[in-house]
Amino acid sequence: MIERAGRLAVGDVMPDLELRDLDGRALRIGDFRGRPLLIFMWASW
Amino acid sequence: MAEDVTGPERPRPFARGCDFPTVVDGQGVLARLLDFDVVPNGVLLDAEGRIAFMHVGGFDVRRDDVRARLVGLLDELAARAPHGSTAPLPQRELALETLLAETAADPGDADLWNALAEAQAGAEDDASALAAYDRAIAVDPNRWIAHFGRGTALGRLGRGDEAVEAWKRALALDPANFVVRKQIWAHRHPDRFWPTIDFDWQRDEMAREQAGRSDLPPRPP
Repeated sequence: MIERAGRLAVGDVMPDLELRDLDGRALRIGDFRGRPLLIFMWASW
Repeated sequence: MAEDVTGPERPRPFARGCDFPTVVDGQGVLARLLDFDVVPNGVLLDAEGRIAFMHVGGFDVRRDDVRARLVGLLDELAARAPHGSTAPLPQRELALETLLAETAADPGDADLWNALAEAQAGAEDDASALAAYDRAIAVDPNRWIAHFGRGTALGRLGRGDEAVEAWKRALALDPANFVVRKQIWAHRHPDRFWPTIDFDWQRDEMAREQAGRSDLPPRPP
């Protein structure tokens, strides 16, 4: 586990990015504010 | 969150049956914000959107130690008193129109050109993104992320061979970047990645590259 990676670190606010789901619907990270959110980053490759 | 620059089709089979939303980070935005060059990774945000936990590389929630750490953190977050107000999230993404005006006013700023390219790619305007990446690279040829984005835009435009050349330039500038390296692998050897990933092949390929028997640079120790 690391405490700092690149431009963001533990304690920083994650930018309110907008990304598309697999069906093209827009989802924002800010949509999940008000509760903890676990982001799992993976890839098919 | 699938870090797949090729779009939703490749990750779709892997997300089937998941009871949580799956989004595609087709521009590698998270990879740049967190500066990671490997997956899988895990990031836990608290209720205000602040990063409470970050695990880069080898994140596996099925592991007992990882799960215990997350459960402990969730308990800590739940125990905190709710805040009456929250700080506004920073506006990192400038409007496309603003970026167009900014780049016109300051054409020597590679950051602005790269930001414009990413905004245009995000709007699925890959032809415009490609032109903006070219401007970013003209200002700063050593900007790996612009070469990476350029490759992604070329790939989406169906110019696969040129995409590989762009990714190779990105990899030459950042040879530790596994995300870039794997885009080249996946483009050259799609049968090793879909419908299933051939990890034995990946180990052999890496050994070949480490031994200098490839046109890709070895990964630094």
